[in-house]
Amino acid sequence: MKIQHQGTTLLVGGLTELNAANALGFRDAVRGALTPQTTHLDVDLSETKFLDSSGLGALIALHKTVVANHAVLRILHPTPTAQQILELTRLHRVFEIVKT
Amino acid sequence: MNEVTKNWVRKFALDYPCELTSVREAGRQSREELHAAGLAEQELDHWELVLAEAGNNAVYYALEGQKHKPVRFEFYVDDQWVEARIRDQGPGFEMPEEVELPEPDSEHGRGLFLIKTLTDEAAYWRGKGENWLVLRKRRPERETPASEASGPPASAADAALTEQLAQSESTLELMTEELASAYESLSTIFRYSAELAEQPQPEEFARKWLVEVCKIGAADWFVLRLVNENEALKLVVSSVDLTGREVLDMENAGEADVSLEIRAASLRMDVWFDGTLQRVAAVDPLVSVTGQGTGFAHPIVINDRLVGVLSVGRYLADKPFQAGQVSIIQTFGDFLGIQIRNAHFQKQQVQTQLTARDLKIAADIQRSLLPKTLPVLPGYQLVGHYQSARQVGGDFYDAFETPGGKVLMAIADVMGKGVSAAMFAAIFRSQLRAEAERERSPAALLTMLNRALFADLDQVEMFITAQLVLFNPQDRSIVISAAGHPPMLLAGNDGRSQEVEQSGLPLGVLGDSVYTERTVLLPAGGNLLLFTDGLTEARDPEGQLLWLSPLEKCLSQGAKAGRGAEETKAALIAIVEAHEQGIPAGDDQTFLLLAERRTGAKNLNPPKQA
Repeated sequence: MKIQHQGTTLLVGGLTELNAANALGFRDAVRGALTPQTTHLDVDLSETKFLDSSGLGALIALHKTVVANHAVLRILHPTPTAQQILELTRLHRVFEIVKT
Repeated sequence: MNEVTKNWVRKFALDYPCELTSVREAGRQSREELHAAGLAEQELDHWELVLAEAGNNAVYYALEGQKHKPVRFEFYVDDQWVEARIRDQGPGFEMPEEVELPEPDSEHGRGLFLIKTLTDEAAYWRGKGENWLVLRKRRPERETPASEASGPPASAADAALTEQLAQSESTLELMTEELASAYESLSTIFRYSAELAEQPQPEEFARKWLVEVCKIGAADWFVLRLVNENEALKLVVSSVDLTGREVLDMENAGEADVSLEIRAASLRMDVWFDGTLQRVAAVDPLVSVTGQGTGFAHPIVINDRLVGVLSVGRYLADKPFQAGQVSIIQTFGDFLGIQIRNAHFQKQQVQTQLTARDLKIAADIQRSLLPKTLPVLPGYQLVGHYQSARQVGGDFYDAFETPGGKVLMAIADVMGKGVSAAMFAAIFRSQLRAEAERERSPAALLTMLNRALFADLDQVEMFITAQLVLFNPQDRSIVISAAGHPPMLLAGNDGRSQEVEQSGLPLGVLGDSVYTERTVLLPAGGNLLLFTDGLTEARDPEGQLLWLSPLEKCLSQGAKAGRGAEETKAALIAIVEAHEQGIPAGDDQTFLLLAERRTGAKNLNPPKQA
């Protein structure tokens, strides 16, 4: 997992999997990197070949944290697998998704 | 989910430690195995996710102390279906028919949704200590060359291994099914036990229960008899056969001299039967049911007491019950017996409590009706007596002064027992007191009371016998009016007595009855007695009634001897008690006694001669 600050945007990437085993670690690491200046949290899912309900739970948790700080969570370039899970669970309507 | 013997293309099982990282690894491993079994990428994606969700749940919900046991994944793949079974060691859950998505901001609750959405069939078999989530997904249609599907020929060692695996799989399947059926049985018990509390009809409850038991025990029919109060086996319920008739005729089902059920009851043992019994016991009601079939009669014995007999059977003789089915039926039958007995006992208790409460209320009302003090008349003594029977009736008496220095005496007997009788007595009393505040004659009062009470009395088919007597001490006149009541007794100090009867229908018989009255004079040194029939109908141990004459005699003797009212009252009570010889009274005993007070010398007394 890579976490980068680009101005007021926090970019998170390098996620091959977002599953029950790593979801909580992912959530806490990203929360720790958020600053009051963060306006955008971009989660890059372009390498994510596996996403389960625990991973979705972590994304929702981060979404709530970010919204409370008047910032925005965006999901960047999800793999077809990740996109399919987001659509299946209707979360593509909750998150702002930036497709390739 | 029906189990069908199939030629699996591939079967495999994986055991992984009960932790999140390991079950994820199991998912990856399964994907590889499924890939080798020929699943397409899309199928593999779905299965990998489904297995992750199922595996995570198995980890999340594993009971403490069970986590050392591995989570097991098993797979069965043929060219149409993929079936996966995931074993967990948790408390288990109810698999819902439909799983809905949680609110969008909920961080949990999507796992089961994904499982249900991405598979075609999902079942959850709960067992003791372990549960199996069974998931099936149809494989997409595809064109496959026949040669590819058959695969390479297996070696002899492979074949032996496959055979061994198949055997252990089928054992496991049997075990799983048994666990599932044990769970079903338990849940049936709990469901019906809960229902019994609300089910007022034990017959209906028993029928529903036994239909379930028959299903579980694979029986075709049942007959349940319970022991009734007369220690006889009463037919409670029997199953409805395919034609919709009761298998046993409810009217003529208990006449048999020779009965398998009676044998089971007296031996306290299961009695088995089959087609050969027909010759032996042609009159047995069960034989007519079972014909050539097979079955058994099971006595339900609880705490050494016979509660009833449950008989079950199959129409075909060549399908005997298996040991497991027999024990299920026996256990359920015993359990049902306990439930019915408990329900019966509870009902009895409630009834006893209700009756006791009813009687207490009635007794309280009754006591409140009796006047606390009676009018004090110069030159006279007035005393009352009320003795309630075991079951409180509706007797009461009253006496009060009315305008013009007169005394109105009333005695009444409401026909009926308990609270309702006491209520009518109370109404009668308050109406009487209200109406008598204005100067009215006894006949006018009765006419009025009858009109006021008729509708209520008529509705509950009760009536009141009553007698109203207005005594004027100034002129010794007695005006009497009566509504179906026994006569009034008068006795003078000359030793003579008389019954004064005034006819009239009881209150509550005819709405427009008009009552009449007449006037008599109190004899010199006289006693006047109003009473209810509980007094004259007191019974001795042989059932003989006391009747009127002993009372009349006592009254005239008292008058002649110049006894006071209290003394005569005690004598009257003594006569009744002597007659009853300790037999409890069947009805209330009530009287009201007016006695002219003796003041000093006898010759001063009779003002009539003055």
